[in-house]
Amino acid sequence: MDLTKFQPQFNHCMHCHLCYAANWHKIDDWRISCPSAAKFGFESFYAAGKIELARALVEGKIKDATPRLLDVLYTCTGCGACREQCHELSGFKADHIELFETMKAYIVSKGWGPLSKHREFEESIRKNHNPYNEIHNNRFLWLPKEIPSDGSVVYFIGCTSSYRQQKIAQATVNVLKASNTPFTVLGPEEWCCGSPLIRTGQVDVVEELASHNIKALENTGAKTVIFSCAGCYRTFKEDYPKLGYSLPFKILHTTQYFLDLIRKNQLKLKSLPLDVTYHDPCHLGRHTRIYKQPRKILQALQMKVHEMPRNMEGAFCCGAGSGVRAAYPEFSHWVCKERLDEAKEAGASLLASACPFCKNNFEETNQTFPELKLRIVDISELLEDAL
Amino acid sequence: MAILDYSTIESELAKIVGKEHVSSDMVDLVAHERDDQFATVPPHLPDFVVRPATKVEIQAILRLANEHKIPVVPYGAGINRKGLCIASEGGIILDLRRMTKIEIDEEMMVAKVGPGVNFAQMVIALNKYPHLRCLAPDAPATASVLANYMLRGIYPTSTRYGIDHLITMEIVLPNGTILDTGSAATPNSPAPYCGIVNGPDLTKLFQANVGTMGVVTEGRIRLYPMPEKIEPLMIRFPNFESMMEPAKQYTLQNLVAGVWVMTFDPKAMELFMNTKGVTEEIFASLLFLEGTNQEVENQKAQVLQIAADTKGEDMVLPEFMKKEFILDHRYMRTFIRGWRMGNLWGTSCYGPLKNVPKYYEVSKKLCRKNKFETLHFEAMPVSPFQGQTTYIDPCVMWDGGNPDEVERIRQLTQDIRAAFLDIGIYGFFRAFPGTVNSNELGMYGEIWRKIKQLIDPNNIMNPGKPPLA
Repeated sequence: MDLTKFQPQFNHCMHCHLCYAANWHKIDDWRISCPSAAKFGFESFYAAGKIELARALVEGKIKDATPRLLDVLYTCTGCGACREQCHELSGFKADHIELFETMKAYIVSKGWGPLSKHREFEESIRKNHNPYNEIHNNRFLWLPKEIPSDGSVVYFIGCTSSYRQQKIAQATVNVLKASNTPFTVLGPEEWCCGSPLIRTGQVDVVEELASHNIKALENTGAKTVIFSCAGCYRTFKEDYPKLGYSLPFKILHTTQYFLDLIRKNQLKLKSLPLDVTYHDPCHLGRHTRIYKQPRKILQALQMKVHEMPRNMEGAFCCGAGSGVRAAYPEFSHWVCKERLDEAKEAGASLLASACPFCKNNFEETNQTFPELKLRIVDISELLEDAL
Repeated sequence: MAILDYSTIESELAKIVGKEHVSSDMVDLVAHERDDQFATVPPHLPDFVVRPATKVEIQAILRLANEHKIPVVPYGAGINRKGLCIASEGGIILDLRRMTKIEIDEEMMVAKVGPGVNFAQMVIALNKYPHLRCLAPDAPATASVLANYMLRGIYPTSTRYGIDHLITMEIVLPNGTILDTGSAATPNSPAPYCGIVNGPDLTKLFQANVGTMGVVTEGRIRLYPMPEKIEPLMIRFPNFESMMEPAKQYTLQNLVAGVWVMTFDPKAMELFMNTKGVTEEIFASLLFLEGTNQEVENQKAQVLQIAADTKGEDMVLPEFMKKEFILDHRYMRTFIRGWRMGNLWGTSCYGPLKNVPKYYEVSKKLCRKNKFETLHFEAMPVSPFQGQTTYIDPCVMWDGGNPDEVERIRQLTQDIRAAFLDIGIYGFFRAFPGTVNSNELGMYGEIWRKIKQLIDPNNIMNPGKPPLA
């Protein structure tokens, strides 16, 4: 939560507002990339404004928390679109995502945050090892009995797939079984990865979660750990090493793993000749640079892929991340509707993604707009359909 | 006159625009405290940020501000290179980004735009009319069209098309009344698209004043025919002097839409143009050829022939770089690379083309004196070329995170300003605070101040900026 390390960079933002819009050279269109700036409009909501806010926090100009401070910080989904548009060209070399997460951790450390909804899931993680206030022992209720208890591949399911999007977890398990991959799961030893806490500045418990999860995985003898959740994948890949942990196993997102199975002919799939568009989850796309593998899977299924204008590194956020869905549900759904409209505009009837949290938000928002006639799926579900 | 306290002012503003569009929270104020030219324009917090959507709201805001002498700083997009949107005496930042009207009159080749429209939005709106274009500046396309045209920008097409793309405007004066310049005043006028009628062109009275005379709520801008072909060409020369005669001939013979005479220190070349292994200063002219395919071919042959007379050679731009130049020419994005060291400094002015080598030499000398090795000097002849009018801009890439460099850039600013005035220039590019001092401008300055005082007797509009600063 040390903001002073970013100080040399505070003078390098020229407020060009590239952080606000998708690359117009690439898409020949004016489309926003920053959800909170687009909705709330004040400069403070732009990445440029938050950089000045960081400076003001370091300089001691902000002496108290106001609702505005919390709104500006916590309506940021942490999508990283600002970093993407800015970094290649500008002189601002700090990592926007890291800066904004550090700002949240800073205000939590001062007792100014987080929001009450975020505190709720912190309490739930401490008590139940998941943010959903669900009973820990119910985490694997969905799991079929005939799962091996050991294997060199461990499937880390994650809280959202365990409690809210079980179809993704079931589909992943069925695809793994169909490929004859020897795999196992952690069972009750699987705890929340800690991503909801990192993204909301509540970092105290995260080390314990990281330590526990890594040890639990180590104890299985896993050589490879796979994730169907983009958030968990990103946390293990990027955040745990920052905490000082080195991972004694390989980690892969299921889209990487399944594509490999397809290439090795370990999955026999029928074609699904449907029109699909693919939403790049922020944690998988911009944060860990996995763009091609999901698309290659869709192509392997003989699907017709319609790209949205804001795709790959320019993808528009689903609106759920960093505690936004919990604390600002209306705003979250507004962002999500923008994305659903874009999916519809792309000419597809199917919106595929590779993150249960994205899917969750898409489904909830989609229900209130039946006229869109979009079916929301995860890549794992498409693979299961194709078995 | 009542003296209102802050909370009363805020609630009055909220009655005008709605409370969700007003803020006095420090979180919103710090976002407007400074820009990247903080070294030469001291940061200062405003007291309020207000986001109107209509001219009626702006009228009400200005009446309130005028009555209670509250400063008002119009903010189109905030991109102006030197502190013009810093509330140097506090007051209201008037964020105009909700005013995004675009109306294109294809037949008349004019567009009406609100102050919140940026160049990317304008260019994309014109996609429906592929035979028309607006001329975008050498500035990020997130800049406000109206603010840029109001302030007179510089454009990659300025050699042929000049810098004046604003025909008439609608402006809310500090007392809340509305002035429509030009033909809108003529009874039964078909359109407000002509400024050169009836008497003085009042658009020019307000243009280039830095938000100090009112709030422009609509501009009528020129649209131009889209050429069949646009081709960038970069010609390398052995030294600075050898670029001058070709630039003059290109201009006089109307061979180019734009010619930039440029130098790059090696590090500047590396950062600007993404090239590696540059060990010596580069002298190069960047040209934009426009016309039909045949015209461009002919122009290219002629420009290269002229260049060859002073040993200039085609650098043969790779395709990806040509594409970048053409895209930036249309709506700039990539040349934000100029900020890759952190900050980009410049002190731009106008002078005759024949003096440009002197401006370059003194710029280089003073950069070295102040220990900057990242000079990118550029100059462009501008239409109309009588007087050999040339835009000059010594740019330095520097690191605003280094306190020593902050001090040195301040010194460089003073040194170059003094040196340019010593050589003799036509004047500075824009009324930036600290650059233009109306007290140094004799009767011109006096009349300018009087006009400002007449229009804005309470000095509420962007105080702390020329002509009263």
